[in-house]
Amino acid sequence: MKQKERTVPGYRAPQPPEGENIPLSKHLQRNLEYLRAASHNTADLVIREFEVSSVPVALVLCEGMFNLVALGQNVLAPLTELKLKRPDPEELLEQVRRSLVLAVDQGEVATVGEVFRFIMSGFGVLLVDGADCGIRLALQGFSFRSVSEPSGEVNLRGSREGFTEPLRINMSMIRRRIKSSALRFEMVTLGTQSKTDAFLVYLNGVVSPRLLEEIKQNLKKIKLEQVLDTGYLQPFLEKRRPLSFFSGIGITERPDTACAKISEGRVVILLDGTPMALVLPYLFSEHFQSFDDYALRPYYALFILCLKYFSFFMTILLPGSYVAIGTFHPQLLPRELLYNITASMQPTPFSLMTEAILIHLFYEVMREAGLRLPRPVGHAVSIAGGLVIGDVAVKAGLIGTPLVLVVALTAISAFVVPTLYEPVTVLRFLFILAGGWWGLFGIGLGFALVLCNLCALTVAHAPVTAPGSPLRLFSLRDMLYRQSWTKLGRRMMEVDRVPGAPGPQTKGADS
Amino acid sequence: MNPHWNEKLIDGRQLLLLLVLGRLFSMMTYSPGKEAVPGSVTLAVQLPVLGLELALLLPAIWVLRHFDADSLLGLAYRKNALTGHFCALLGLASCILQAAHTLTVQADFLSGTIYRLPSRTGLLLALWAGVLYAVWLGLESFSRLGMGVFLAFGLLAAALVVQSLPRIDLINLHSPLEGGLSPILQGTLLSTARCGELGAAVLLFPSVRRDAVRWTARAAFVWTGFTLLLSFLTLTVLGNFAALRSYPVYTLALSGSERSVFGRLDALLLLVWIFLAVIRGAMYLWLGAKCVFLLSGRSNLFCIGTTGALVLAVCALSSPIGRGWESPLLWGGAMLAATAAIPLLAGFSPQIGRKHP
Repeated sequence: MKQKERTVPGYRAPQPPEGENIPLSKHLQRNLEYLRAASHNTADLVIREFEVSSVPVALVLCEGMFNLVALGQNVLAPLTELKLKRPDPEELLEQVRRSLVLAVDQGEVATVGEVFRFIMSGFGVLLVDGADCGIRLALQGFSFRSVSEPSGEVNLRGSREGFTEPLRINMSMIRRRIKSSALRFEMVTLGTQSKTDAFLVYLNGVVSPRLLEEIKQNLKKIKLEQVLDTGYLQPFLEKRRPLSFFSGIGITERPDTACAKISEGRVVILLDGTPMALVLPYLFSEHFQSFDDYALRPYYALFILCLKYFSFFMTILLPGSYVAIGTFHPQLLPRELLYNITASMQPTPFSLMTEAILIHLFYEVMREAGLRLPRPVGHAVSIAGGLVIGDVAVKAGLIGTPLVLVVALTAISAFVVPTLYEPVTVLRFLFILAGGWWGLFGIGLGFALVLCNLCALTVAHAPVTAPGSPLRLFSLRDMLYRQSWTKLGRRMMEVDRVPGAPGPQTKGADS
Repeated sequence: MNPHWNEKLIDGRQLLLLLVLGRLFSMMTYSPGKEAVPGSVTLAVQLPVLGLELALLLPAIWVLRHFDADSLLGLAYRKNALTGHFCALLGLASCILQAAHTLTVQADFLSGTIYRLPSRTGLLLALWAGVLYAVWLGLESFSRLGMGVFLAFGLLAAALVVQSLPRIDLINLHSPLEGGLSPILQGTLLSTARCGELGAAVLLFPSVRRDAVRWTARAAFVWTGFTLLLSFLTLTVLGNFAALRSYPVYTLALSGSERSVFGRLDALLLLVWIFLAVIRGAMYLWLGAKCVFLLSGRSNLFCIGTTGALVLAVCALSSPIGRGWESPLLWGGAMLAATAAIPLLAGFSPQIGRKHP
């Protein structure tokens, strides 16, 4: 039974704009009047009317979205110089269709909605009096951030290029790296109002058809007015159960990482307006891999991998374990350390658990403030925060000195695996509570349940914990350690065939 | 994710891990009752016990092969509904006993040995809720967790061996025949009774993708290996003290901690132990819920909730029963009885009326 939408005062259900499917009329003035009315005479709508061999035409554009030079040289000059033998709309359209190359991407539009969508993507639309269609001409010339090194995924070796906001540039960065006819970009439009372009990128013949179909079906379910970031899509692509802190969807802003994932049979989703691409499916072990691992020597890559796993567990468990041991199991600490901790706790008014929660809250507040503020001010906040936490809070007797070390270690180690920052932060607080209430039992039970929850997660029918559990020893060559490329390159991983995933399928999106 | 009762959810390796980890939990929670036998006897009887365990599986294997079935409970229902219900009830009762024993023993250990302040009831309830959540997540989730826990236990066992090596004293080994044949028989019986995992294996067969029997046999070899190793260590390091102490493996870890380069192995052992309790408790609770499903055909929530409530009720009753509850002949014996009885009932009961769906 279809669920009835509840009406909530102050909120409305997402609705598509009205009148978008209205076909263009043969009367140019009527079309222009309708366009002006439908756009409520918006200031950025540019309509330039002129005649081509005495046939009235109009060029519809969106201010700031087109390249003025290309417009003048490639469109206006050829059109104004055009001499028609028979000056009527059909002849003009025929000339534009067959003889004139006004733009590389040139086609026809039939409805008002299409006119708006194209001009707002940087196209110009040529409307001809007497013709019930328009000609769209690619004239994009809006300004955008140039290709730069991704700030969130900095690598020592490999490419310095990161995705940027315009979709076509991101597309070209992938295409330049995989010059294969099997690489396919499949376009979808998302958002009833924003009409954001997105591309599903995959290797035909390698990707699982079931995975691809599932993603397409899930994208069709999106009923949002605006799709401004890939984060908007994520909940629609994830399974709803079980509820988890972790996700089976990865994010990357590196084209080389995206290409590596595509070659393993994954689907990458590029969205216009964001440099963050989604990778589906994304196994848990991939959070601990970086492009550097494949460029560095294997023994060092293994060392880094171990460091990352160690940091991940430390950042989650260290504060909770400190609280648990300090509160319930002080006998586990070496005697000298125990004396120091006891001495540092003497002047503080709070329990160890309260102290740990307070100091971690302070830290998160300062991190968040430093992140959102302008960079120079952010630095100042960080310095002030460091002083407050490190010195003043201890001197004021609010917290003990060893806890400052604990928070510093956990804070730094959280950034070793940046893609897991969100779950790590929340879990850290939960483990502090578990350790404070139940000691090591709380930590153990909580950790068991978190891991159990992680083990229950599947993405595209594959368990996210594969190939570690369910185990396939051969697959550990790329997860637990990194084999040399001489061996690694002999067999490419197929993500839909990790242990625990359903059996082999016929490959190819078209099959 | 909810349990899909009739699906093939795990592979043979995961079955092995579940069974081995369950058995390791029983070994860790060893508590010398009045029927306890000397450590040398426990060590000596392990190989006969292995033979006995494998022999106990034979009726189930024969019945499944003979009737070309993959589930004993399914076969019992095929024969007639009454046998089916009776077998499911038997399975449910033994699983509830095992799950309740897992939770109470763990709570007893924590409240008696580790903590002094938190109440046993609070610990028990927290553990029960955790296990219930693991069951709600499904068999796959906690069987996948088993891989990491097994690795951790393996590493811990290796560290225990290294830590204990300098303190091994073979003078603590005595002839198992010192007390005659009676302790040997008693030790064999007790060690076999501790192995409720045989019953779990039989009930888990239909959920395993392939080679369930082979992996169960392998599991028996693995847990026998662990039992031999840890029994040898506790006996030779702790000597007669091991026979008097509850939780000898924990005592072993604790005894060498201060002198060891590994630091406090007891704390790590405690953490792994909690994982073992969650996995074992969840395995039996899941099997119990499956039996409730066969009996009632109701929703996952109902099946898991009912089994959870029954387990909690048995846990509540365990305190009045007292030391009798710790006897493996009670909780382990019930499971072994089910292991033997279900195949016989399913195999030899008459076919009556229409086949039960």
